Amino acid sequence: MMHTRDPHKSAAAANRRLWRHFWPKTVSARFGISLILFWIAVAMLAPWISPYPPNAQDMDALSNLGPSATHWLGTDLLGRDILSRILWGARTTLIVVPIATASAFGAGTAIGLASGYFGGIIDRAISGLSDIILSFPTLILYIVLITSIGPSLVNIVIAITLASAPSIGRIVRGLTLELRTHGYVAAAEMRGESVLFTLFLEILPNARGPLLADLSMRAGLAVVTVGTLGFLGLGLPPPDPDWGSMVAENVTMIPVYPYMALFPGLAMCSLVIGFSMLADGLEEDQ
Amino acid sequence: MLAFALRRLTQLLVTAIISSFLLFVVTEFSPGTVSRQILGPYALPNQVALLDQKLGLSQSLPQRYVNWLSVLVGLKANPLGDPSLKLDLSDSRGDRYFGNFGYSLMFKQPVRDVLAGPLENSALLGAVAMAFIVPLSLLIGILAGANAGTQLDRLLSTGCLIVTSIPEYAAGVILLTIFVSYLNWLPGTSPLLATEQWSIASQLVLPAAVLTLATVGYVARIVRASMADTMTKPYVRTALLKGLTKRRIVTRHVIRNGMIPPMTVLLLQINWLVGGVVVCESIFAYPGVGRLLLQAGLFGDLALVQTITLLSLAIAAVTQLLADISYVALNPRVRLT
Repeated sequence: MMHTRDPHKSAAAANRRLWRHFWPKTVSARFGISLILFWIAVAMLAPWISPYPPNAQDMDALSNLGPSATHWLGTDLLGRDILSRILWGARTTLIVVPIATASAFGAGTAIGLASGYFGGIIDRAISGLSDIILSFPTLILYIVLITSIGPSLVNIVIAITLASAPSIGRIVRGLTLELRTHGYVAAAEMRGESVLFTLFLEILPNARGPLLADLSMRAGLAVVTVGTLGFLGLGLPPPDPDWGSMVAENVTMIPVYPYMALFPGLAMCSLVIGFSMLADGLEEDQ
Repeated sequence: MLAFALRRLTQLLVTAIISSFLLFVVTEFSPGTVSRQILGPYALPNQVALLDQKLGLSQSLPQRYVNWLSVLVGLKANPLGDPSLKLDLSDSRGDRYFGNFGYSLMFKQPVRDVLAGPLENSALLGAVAMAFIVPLSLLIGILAGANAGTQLDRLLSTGCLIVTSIPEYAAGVILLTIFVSYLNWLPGTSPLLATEQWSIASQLVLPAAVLTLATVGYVARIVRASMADTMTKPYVRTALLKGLTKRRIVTRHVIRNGMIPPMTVLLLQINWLVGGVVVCESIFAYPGVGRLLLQAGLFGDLALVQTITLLSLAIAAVTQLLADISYVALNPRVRLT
């Protein structure tokens, strides 16, 4: 068959289709993804858009800590610009969160696929271990893990992976159990594809819908976790700013200087709300 | 029913043993030897060696786990209480009793004595929070679910989503800013000591509010989903065609059937509340178990960390069991095999 369409026109149409494919359809998902993209842009541009270096102390500001023309969101007790620290803090969060989420999702997907596809003893072993990890209240698991292995980027990623891989695994397992009954899985098996091919190129792509929504929700939870660990003093070591520890440093000041803890707290809320709205919208899309 | 409960109980026991072993491994894995951690950085090498020997630290991990369990159930005396170690640790209950959780090295007291007060305080906080969470989430969920798809539903659901997304500590900061900094209606910390200005009840308001905010949205969304699902059932249409009012259909038919899944979620939420309590207590300097766990973890007080984590595991296990049993008891359609 001949292609009679104008190539330019079809390229534009293909672009539009691509855009439409990736740009979410529901209002809440669009709102969520805009918030997330905003913070990603902030994190990337932090060195250029933040008015001061994050740890620079402005001694002149100490007589007037509150929001002013020179320090839009005010400074903390050490005279450090809150706006700059929030902008730089976005970096910390948006570096840890994608790594941790990707690691948790990778591990969760692998164990979920394995236990759903193979069944039997593998399934029972994985499910049993998952149940045990899931029986710990998550935050307590984090506290026990981080206080015993120490706070660092790698350890936080390990802790988040360990705590969330089992529940991701459960979801993937359920999806796999359903998908493996489809004809295309049997076809792949019949034509002698390897197990890995069947799992990752036949089953996994067909589970992407529910998994994308879950991914967004997990990323939101990881933001909360990173913030909470920072707040509890179990986050990345100072002095680099992160939102959770900014709140912790200034929470006792709230009766006098509420903005010091409030602004980083609100920044955190907006990012988490972005991820939840996206997850909610993606779920509705299906 | 009995057979089902028994089988779940056995499962529970197995889980308890494995998870306590994992807990033991993770906590004892801590950097530095266990004796160093107990005696502090300035201990003499011969003290460390003596304690290593007394505690049986040269033994294998499973063997040490069995020793630890034996102390816990009262079969063995806690080696730390030995006066020859000069650690100045003694227990008024004697050295061998059931439920011996060892000594807290941070407080130089038996863990049981350290935990008693904070445990009561946390239970109080949890109970007050639950007293708000249950009616509020049911009300919001039923309102939204019975009117699924309407403007009201959209408003309530989005509100719940946003409230759920707010991390506890951020919620704490927002509430503190409003009610303490601007309005000056409530105290900023809750040490549970009545002062002239603030009664104990007023000190409970904000911590309970933080826990409620963090939980209510999630539970309400589950209630809503279940209610909305039940509303589409054929018997609802039949009732409508029969001429029943919507109010009557919702209160008589939908709520009864739609409440089964949320009941179990509510019970499981207690488990989640345990974690939330840690953050909440840290914000308000509330003298409960959560804050104690954090302090113990940062200090390296192994016995205290282990005991509090075991307690939270026990709570998790019991609520899970209750949730399973209540699901079966509430729903006659679930068959027991």
